Amino acid sequence: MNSYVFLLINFLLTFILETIVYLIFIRDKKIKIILYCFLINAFTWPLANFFYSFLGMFYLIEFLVFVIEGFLVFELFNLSYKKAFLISFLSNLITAYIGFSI
Amino acid sequence: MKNKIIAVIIFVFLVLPVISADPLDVRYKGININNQITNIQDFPDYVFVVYGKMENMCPIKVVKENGEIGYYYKFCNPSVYAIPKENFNELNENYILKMQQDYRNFTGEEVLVYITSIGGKEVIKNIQTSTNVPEASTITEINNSYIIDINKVLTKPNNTITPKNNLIYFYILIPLIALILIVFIIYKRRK
Repeated sequence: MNSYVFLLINFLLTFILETIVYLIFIRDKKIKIILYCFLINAFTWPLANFFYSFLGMFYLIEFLVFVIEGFLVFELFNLSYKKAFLISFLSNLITAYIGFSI
Repeated sequence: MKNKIIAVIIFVFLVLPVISADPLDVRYKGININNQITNIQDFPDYVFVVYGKMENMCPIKVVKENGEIGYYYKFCNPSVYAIPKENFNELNENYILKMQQDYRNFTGEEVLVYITSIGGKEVIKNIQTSTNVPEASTITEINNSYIIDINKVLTKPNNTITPKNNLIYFYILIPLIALILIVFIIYKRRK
């Protein structure tokens, strides 16, 4: 498979799965949740892949993504820190698990 | 809330393995490593042959006039040997050609003994001709160049160039645009 197609599918899969988690846990307008989730992923996903491709260090990069996304969820959705980081943890647990599996 | 968390965790550990059961590590892609001897013209009295020690997989080859070493199976890690041209007569050339064509019938030791018997000296060892990089890597290939010396064995290339594709712009531009929009949204809300 072409690298670009693979990366696009990878991004879409990450975005869709994280959106599902956001939709489960956040009570807000659906369109807003989807848009903010897209922005958060558009920020973290390319950077995570870029650094992973150079440095490896999967766990460290996933941890940083979890922290940054937790903070962005907290800021964008006006949630408590606890809930924001829980959402970030669960959404990244899924995507990290998929990253390992496929 | 607790039920939702449990449901998500069950989803992660029970449902996802079914849709992602492929054991292949597709996060990596293979890229070529091009190896070239840049000063091959300085040794007109030598013929250079390349041979990997892995039997049945890595046939002996003569290095091209432009110094290109060529590609091998990834586990070959071949070496380059310099053979004095005076020892490289038609008979030897034909025998090397035979070893190249019937490489499955020659053991690694036989080939190495033959190379040594006609004055072959190892000048580069452990050459890699392919490697795996993460699928997201911007590296498209690796170009190694070697400046050889007949009396030394090089274990590393003298120079390495790694051309990159335009994914680098994607990795920088998209997060930058996303960050600007996120900051704008947060700023507007606080105002």
